[in-house]
Amino acid sequence: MRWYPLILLAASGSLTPAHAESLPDWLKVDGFGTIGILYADDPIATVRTDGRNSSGAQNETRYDQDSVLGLQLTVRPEGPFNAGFQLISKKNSEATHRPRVQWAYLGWEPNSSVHMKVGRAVAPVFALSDVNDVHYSQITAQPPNSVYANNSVTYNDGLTGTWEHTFGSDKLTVEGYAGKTNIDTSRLFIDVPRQAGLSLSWNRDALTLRGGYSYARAVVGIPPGGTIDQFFKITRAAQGLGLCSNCEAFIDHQLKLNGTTNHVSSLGLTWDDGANVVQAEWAQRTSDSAILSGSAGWYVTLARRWGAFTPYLMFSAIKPVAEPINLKLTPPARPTASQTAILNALEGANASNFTGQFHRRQQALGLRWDLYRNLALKLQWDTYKIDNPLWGSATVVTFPQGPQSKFDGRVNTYSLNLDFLF
Amino acid sequence: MNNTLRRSMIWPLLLLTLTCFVPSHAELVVVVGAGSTVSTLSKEQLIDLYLRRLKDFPGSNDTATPLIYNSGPLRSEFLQNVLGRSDAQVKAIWARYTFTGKAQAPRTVENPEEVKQLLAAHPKMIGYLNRGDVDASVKVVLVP
Repeated sequence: MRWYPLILLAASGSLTPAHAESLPDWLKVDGFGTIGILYADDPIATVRTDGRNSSGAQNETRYDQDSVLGLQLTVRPEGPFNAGFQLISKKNSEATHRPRVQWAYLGWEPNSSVHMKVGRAVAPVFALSDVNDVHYSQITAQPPNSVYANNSVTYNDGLTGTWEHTFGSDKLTVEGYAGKTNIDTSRLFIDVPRQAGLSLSWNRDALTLRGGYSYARAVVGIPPGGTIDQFFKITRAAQGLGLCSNCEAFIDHQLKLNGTTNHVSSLGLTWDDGANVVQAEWAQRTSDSAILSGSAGWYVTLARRWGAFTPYLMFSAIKPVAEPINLKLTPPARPTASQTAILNALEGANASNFTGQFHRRQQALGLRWDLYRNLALKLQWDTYKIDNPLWGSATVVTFPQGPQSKFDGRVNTYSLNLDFLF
Repeated sequence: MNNTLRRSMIWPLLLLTLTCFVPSHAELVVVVGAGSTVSTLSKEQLIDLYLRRLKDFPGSNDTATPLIYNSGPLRSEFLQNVLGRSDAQVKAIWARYTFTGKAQAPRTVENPEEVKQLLAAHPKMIGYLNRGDVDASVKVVLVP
């Protein structure tokens, strides 16, 4: 359904200056977007810049990685109430660009310090969560995925609140949320019936420090016939055939699908004095299910503005944080071919710690060029280095598992993005 | 005067002549409506209001609505010399607030008359003018 972005674009036709001026003061229509081109140079590994994208780039140029179109309607009449509605069209896990409702809330501002929202609003898990898809407002081509692909929660259906207070030249902002959400990635369908989070940020002049904590209780759905579904079947078969002494217990305790508990902690620092920018963030996600294998990631972005040009460097890494898996295999003296296949699969699970061996380092070199009003062109070269190219996998870089894999653990990607606001 | 000397004087004289015809640098002043309770602002407070680090006027609970020219030299001068940010930087900062519903971007205006009309009608608004455009409907709170 490639015509969805066109519909949004057509709707944005009402945003020409003539139309915008005819809108009353209390009604505002804004939009943003990116036309993104990404080339990945590896013939074996696949790179996707967003874990919710059904497709990735494998030795090819793709236009569906960072490309996005968003349209927002904001209603702010006189008085304490306001409302917002935002639609986003972006390649999703169903391989369509069907617009999703990103925000749909009713807001209440009893005074200038407090803003409460009921409905769908941002879940401020990380520093850039609230503008995850508004690439124009970021220096790099896409949010650094060592942290941002760590947790795909973007919105909260429920209650969100912000409290801001200024003490002299210091500003303190507290944001909290409670509600539910869901995440559809290319591998899993995750329903989160209960989530909550709190973040604190402190700003003085060019410096902002931020800390956040989020909790989510999730129900994980796996695609029938997919890799994980097959693994469940193999593991149960192994137990039934007497090839494994603790497979049943492993499924029950370490491969939980219902009621998994997940915690995300994050710390961030931003320095932006107008010319120099340093942005750094660290985040750790822990989970009591190996399906949602925990991880810890960080990034540091360094940038310098020279007029319309902003060259930048980004360094980042991600590593697993997961309980070790130790499937106790009991192979017969003369295994059959099918038994050997099952045993190999289970040995693979032990070797990979199920999905856990995804130590990955990433460096990026890029240039942002503010070439025209509301238009920014970004060129970015990313190098990925996966430490364990036989048994590692993550949402961003995926590749065949096992000794037969010829992947050398290195991938380069080249992005050319045009970001715009309207 | 030999030819070489004459030629060497042509360019400086030409530049001097041209300089006399370029209008002198207009003085930008920051203004609020005559009915506003705000009487003075520091440059840092002004920057904080325009970059949304401050939401309210200092010492009050009145949420400020900044005005900014849609285009023209006064917009460029204000962004570069007062806020110390490029157009793109300011847009990027405001996009973070706009697309989360946390605040509206500064309201754009087209000319000094519109600035004065809005400030006269809305005491919570703040804008800027050339000093020559200041009249009794507004008061100057900062000369950056």
